[in-house]
Amino acid sequence: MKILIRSTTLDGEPIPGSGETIQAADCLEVVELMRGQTPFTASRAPRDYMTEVLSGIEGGPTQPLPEEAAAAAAEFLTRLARHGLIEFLPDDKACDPWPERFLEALETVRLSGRTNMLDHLEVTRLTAEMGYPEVAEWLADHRREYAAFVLEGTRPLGKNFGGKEDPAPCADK
Amino acid sequence: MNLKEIHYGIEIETVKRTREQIAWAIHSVVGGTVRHVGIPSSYDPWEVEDLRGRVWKVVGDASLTSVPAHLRAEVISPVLSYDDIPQLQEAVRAIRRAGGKINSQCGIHIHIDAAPFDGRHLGNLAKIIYKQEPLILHALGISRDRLNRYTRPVSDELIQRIEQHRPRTKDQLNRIWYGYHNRQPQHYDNSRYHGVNLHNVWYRGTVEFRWFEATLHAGRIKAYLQFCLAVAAKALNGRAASSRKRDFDPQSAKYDFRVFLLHLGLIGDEFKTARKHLMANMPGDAAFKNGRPKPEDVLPDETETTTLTNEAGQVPGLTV
Repeated sequence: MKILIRSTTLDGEPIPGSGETIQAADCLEVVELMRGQTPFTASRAPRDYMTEVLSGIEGGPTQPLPEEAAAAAAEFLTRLARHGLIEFLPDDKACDPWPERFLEALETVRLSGRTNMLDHLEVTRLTAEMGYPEVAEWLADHRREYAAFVLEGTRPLGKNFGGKEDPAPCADK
Repeated sequence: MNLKEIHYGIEIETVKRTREQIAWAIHSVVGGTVRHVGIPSSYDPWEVEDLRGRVWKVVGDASLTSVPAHLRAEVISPVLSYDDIPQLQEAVRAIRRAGGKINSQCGIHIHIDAAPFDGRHLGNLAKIIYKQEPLILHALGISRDRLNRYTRPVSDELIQRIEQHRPRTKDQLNRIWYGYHNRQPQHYDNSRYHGVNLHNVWYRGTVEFRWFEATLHAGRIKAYLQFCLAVAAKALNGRAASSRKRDFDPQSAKYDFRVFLLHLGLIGDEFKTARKHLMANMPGDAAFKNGRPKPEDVLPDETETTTLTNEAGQVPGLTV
C-alpha cells in the first residue's frame, strides 16, 4: 500500500497534493515507517505513537484503537485520512507483469473469431473457457492495461489519478 | 435515541469522470483496494473495499442522460455512522479534486437505517415532514421538475390514512403505503418517487430521503445528513406528532425554519454550518418572526430623545 503524508500549514491544515510518499506491504508496515521518520517517534512503542499522534490531531483523550495491531494500524490511518492528513495512493499494480501465456491466450481467442477483442468481459470469459485461467484472472484485474494493450500494444505504467498525471515509470523499466 | 446513534448511507450522482476515476478518488481517502466488478455490465460497478472492510460502490446511472454512458457515476457509500461524516466529506472533496462534476440531472439520496423504527415512528416521521414540508422544500431549493417527478411531497391521503388507522407496526404501515399488503416490494415501484420514500423500508430496510439537488460541497452534504438524522431522531423519540400543515409565510419563513431546526436538536456550534446551509435560501429574518424592527419602531417619538454628554462636555455619540 502507498500513502501520501500531506504537508500542513502552520495552523495544521493539510495542503492537498503536497507531502511525501510512503510505500509498504500493509498498514502495519506503513505505521512502522511513519514512526521511524524521526528519532523521537522511533523510540516510542507503536501503540503509544499512534495514540499520541491522534490526540495531537483530535485534541484531548481519543477514542481507543482496536486491540489487534493490524486493526489498530488500519484505524489509525483511517482517522488520519478522515482529517485529510494522508491520502491513499494507488498501488503500482499496473507494473504487475502479465502472465506467461498472455500473448498465446489472446491469439487463441482472436483466431477463434468468437468476440470483438475490445469486449474485455467476453475476452476474459473466453480465455478462462479456452484453458487460460491465470490469464483470465489477470484480465479481470487489469481492464485498463488490457485496453491499452489492444489499442496501443503497450501497457500504461501506473494508475493515474483523474487522468491528469503522467504515469510514473516502474523501477524495472 | 440520539441522532448520532443512527446509521445511514448516501448516494451521490456525478458526471464528467469515469467510474474508475471516481473509485480511485474515493480510494485516496478510504484506502484499501479498488476492484472492477463489471457485472452486471449495465451498472458496470467498481468497488473500493476500505481498510475497515467496508465497500464503497461506484456504479453507472442510466438517468444521467446528458453525458456519455462511461461518464455517469453514482457513488454508494457503505453503512456509515455519525463519526464517519468527516471521512465522507473528505471523499467528496477528493471526487471534486479528481474533476467530478454535477449537473441538473444529478441528485443525492440519503438512507436512514429503518431498523429502530416501527409503524408509529414512521407515521411520526411522515407527519413531521408533512407539517413542515413547505418550509423544507423551500429551504432545500428543489427544482419544480424534480418536485413533480422524483421527489413528490408527502400526500394528504397518506397522512389521512395514518391518522385514521394509527399504525403500530411496519406491516400495518405497509398496507397504508401500498393500499394492500405488499410482501414482495420491487425496486422500481412507482411509490418510491417521494421526497420521503417509505417504499424503501420494505425493499431495503432504510428510509430514503430523495429531496436533495446534487452537490459536491462537503459542508452542504454534512448539513443534509445532519438534517435527515435529526428528523429521524425526532420521529423516533416523539410519542406523537402533529400533522397540521404549516403555511409558508415569506416574512417569517427563516425564523420558523430556524425554530424547527432548533426543535430538531440542531443546536450549538456543532450544527452551526448545518443551520447556515439549510437557512441560506429562506426569506425573512432568522431572529425576528415578523421581520427585523425598523429604527422608527423603536424610537416612535423623537421629542423624547435626549443627548448625553460626558464629564468633559463632549457628546459621546449615544442617543437615548
